[in-house]
Amino acid sequence: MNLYSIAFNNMWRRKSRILFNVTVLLVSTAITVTLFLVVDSMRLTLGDQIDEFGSNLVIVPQAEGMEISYGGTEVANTAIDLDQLSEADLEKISTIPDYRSINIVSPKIVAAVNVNDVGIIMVGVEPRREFMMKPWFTLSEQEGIEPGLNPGDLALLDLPEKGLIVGSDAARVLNLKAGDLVDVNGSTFQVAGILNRLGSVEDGLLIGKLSTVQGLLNRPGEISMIEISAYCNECPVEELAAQLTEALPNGRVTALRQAALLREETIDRFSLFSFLLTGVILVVAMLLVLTSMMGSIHERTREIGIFRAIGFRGSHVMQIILLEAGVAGLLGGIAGYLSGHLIARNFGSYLSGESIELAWQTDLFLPVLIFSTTVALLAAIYPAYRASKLDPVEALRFI
Amino acid sequence: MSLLQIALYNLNRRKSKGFFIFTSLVLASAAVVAILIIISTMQDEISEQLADVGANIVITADRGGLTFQYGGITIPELVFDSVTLTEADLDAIDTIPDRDMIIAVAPKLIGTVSSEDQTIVLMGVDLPGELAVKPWLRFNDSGKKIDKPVEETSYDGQVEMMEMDYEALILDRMVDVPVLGNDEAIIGGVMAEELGISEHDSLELGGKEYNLIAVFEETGYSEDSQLFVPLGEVQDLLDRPGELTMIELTADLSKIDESLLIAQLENALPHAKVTGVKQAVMRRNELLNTIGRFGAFSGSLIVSASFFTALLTIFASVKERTREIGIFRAIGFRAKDILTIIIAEALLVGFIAGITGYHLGLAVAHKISPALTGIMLSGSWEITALLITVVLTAITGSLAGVLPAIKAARLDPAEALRFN
Amino acid sequence: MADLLIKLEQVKKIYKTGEAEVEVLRNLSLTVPPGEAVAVMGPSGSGKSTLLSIIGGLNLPNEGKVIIDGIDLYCLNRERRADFRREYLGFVFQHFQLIPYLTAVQNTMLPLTTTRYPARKKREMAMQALERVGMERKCNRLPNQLSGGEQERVAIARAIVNAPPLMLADEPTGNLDTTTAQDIMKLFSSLNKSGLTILMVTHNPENTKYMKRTIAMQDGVIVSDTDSLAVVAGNEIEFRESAGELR
Repeated sequence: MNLYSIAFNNMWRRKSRILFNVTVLLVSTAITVTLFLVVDSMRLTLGDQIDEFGSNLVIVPQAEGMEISYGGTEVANTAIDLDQLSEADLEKISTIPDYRSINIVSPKIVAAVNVNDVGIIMVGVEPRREFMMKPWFTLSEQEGIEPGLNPGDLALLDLPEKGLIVGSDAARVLNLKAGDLVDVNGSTFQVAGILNRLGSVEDGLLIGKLSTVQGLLNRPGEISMIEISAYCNECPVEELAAQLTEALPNGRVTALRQAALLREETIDRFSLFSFLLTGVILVVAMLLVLTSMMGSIHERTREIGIFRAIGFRGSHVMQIILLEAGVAGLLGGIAGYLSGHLIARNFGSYLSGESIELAWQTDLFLPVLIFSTTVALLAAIYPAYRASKLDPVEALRFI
Repeated sequence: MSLLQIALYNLNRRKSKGFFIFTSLVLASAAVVAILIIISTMQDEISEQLADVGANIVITADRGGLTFQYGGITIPELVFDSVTLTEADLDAIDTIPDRDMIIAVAPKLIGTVSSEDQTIVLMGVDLPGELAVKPWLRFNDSGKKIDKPVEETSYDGQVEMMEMDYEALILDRMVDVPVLGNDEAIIGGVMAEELGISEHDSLELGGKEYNLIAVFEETGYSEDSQLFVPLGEVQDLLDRPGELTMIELTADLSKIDESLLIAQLENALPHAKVTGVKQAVMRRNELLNTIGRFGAFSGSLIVSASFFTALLTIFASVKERTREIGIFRAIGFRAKDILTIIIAEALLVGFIAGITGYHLGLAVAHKISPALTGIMLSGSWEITALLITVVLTAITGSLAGVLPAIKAARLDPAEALRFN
Repeated sequence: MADLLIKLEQVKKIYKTGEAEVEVLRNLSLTVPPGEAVAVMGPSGSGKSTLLSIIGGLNLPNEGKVIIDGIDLYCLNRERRADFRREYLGFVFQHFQLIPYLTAVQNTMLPLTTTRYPARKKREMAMQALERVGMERKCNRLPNQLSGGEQERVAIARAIVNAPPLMLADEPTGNLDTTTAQDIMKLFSSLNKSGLTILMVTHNPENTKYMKRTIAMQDGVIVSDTDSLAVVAGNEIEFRESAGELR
């Protein structure tokens, strides 16, 4: 029988105590791991949420009189009109390396039209894509639905060929209601719905289907603007803008500053706070382990006294205690790593509002193990030292 | 001597044992307070910051001139009634009860003029207000930069972390911005290219020369093709003295409900139409929702973990008292009497630990966090947090003590006496 | 008071340790009239401590009846048995079993804690008990500030503080030196003379001479039940032999 077998025997006999130490370590490690994972996935979720909300890139045709050059080389003059964007350009978007980051591409044509001799701006869009990208567009009136009843979801609306969605200011200026027939540049459209007031430039628009508006203007296949909503977690928006510029030499690609600023600010703030949060957790976890380990060694004073009384050296006592702490740390670390992942995986969907796949972060395993073992050992050193210095008579008296 | 006194004697004479329980409860409650404050501050700050990026309320004349501009196309003003906003309305905004919640006001008159066969969209603006509402507007690098002798007041270290102009603008709206002289103008990036002009050039509008002091970087919005001129100049050029097309507002919607503020504004400006910017509001709500869920999750995670650990510690410590409980039982104490002693101890320790932990948590939130991250934490949570911690600690303390105490009391005293 | 203070009928106690069953008491019957002083002797494992804890209501017998002062002990529930111990019994445990964080007088007061006496009365009663064991001068000391004999005295004071009819003592001199042990035994003897019935488990044959009656146990049964004075006076040698045998 050597020191280690004493330590292991002791652990085996006193399962509830080792269980206690392991549990404390497990809980501390598990919350730390969970928080790490959750903060990580929250950062991505928040980013995605901002990115999904409206466009963050816009492509317009190159302005007249612009030199078309990219990276110093002149781009060859091609057959198509360089100043225009066309539907062919949409396909080029899918050729960029980071195409996977692009969420929604919404092409549109914009033109001034005449309605009852009033000049107004009309936009041709792909309704599904446009309204999916801008979920804050909602209808106040819809053709075929009685006033007072809730209009349907715009993203699900099937806009007819000659249907129009009218912005609230435009409806006011033109005095339009849902279901009205309206003459646009000599062609008759029906108002399919009126938008709620948005407080932005879109309030003054007539929105029709892309192909219809192209036909109306006699500019088939032509596009005057492409709005893109892209995920920027893996590929920053500037990078995407550069790739798109390369793919579309005839377009002028701009990353929308407001979206970028909002993203950056929000993520920065969140990161700062989660850093603080994780810091507090780490410290609390460490202190909790420290007090509970100290408490549990304190409870053993009498037993330590017996070891001392039968001739164990102080260093022997320390070795036994530290060995126990180390084993508890290892077990707690492994269990904490596993349960942290389980918690994060099970609650991840609650957090992001949709189910997300949380990968097992294997590179977290070793740091977690080292963390929990180190904390356990650190927590044990002081009480072990004190126990080893204890006068055996004193220790035996202790209840 | 009563049962309560036994509890007190135990706590008093076995301080080191009580210390570990006390410490773990203090830790648990301090963690709860600190975390609650961090999370609530995070929600406040992010919500404030979301409100800051861009206008969230727009005031237009109820019936009045409209200038439409979208995708590079501008429709000159459609006048269909003569009611307009005037500069007097700006004073009316100042009269609303929650004026404090409005961070920035950007009045503007939009109009078009012809210059060299081109239609130019004129934005008559109050430049500081405009930049405050649109913090993403930046001057072209080659152009005149905003000098920003940031006043290092309450923000201290925080400012150093910010390197970009607009961020400083968001942080501190007192930042110096160039004053737009009466014969000066700033031009949008796309328009500058289209006209082939840059800063230091001049532009003639309605017979008056304007010096371009800067060019805005492209933003992807309508500002790209606008010319920014002092408000008074545009009013003169268009011969519409004192008139405004619209007023954009940035309000801190983290502290006040949007509809309430809009109602107040409508009240103050009966002839105007006040609209919340739908995009901003909806995005804000969505993000806050997500962050709220995160807060609730991590908060409850930490609360339950720390109290679970405290529970374990108490559990283990009462378990160690099995023999003592055996003595009490053997000399004729009822199980109820033993529970009374244990619960009295736990409540007492829990109560003191709860209060201590509360103050420790506050100290962490108020002292350590600002030093560490530059974030000043302040909680609307504080009283709630005190209640939560004290009640939770006391409950945890007694709950954790009762279970092993019952177990020990149910044990045959002869067995319990032999324990350990 | 009933004719017999303690009456055990066919008491059987079995301990289960894993698979094995150990029969500690085998159909043991015993009667003790009031005012008796009984020493129970026997080697370790003979069942004497179990007998004591069963009489004290600490440990349930598997079979048989335990009637103390006319009360069938194991018809009472757990809590009623606790009440019984408080009112009828004084217990002196092996290793004293004092509460470490309470002073001598506080430990003595413990059985009175839940009674309705006013605080001053409780203290008075505790001081009287301490006086009887000669510990009144050290009443404010904590157990770890007392010697073994002194702790034993405090434990005895605690056992007699509410003037119970019966005192049970488990190896009261087991941890004490000879002189101190003699003092404690003299104390027992004088308590008995003042009317307290005592049942004491002991290893030490010397102690039997302070008791009126001596019971020897082996393997869960009573092997001899004699007058202690006779043991000491006439059959000391014989008894020693039989005790040696037992051992």
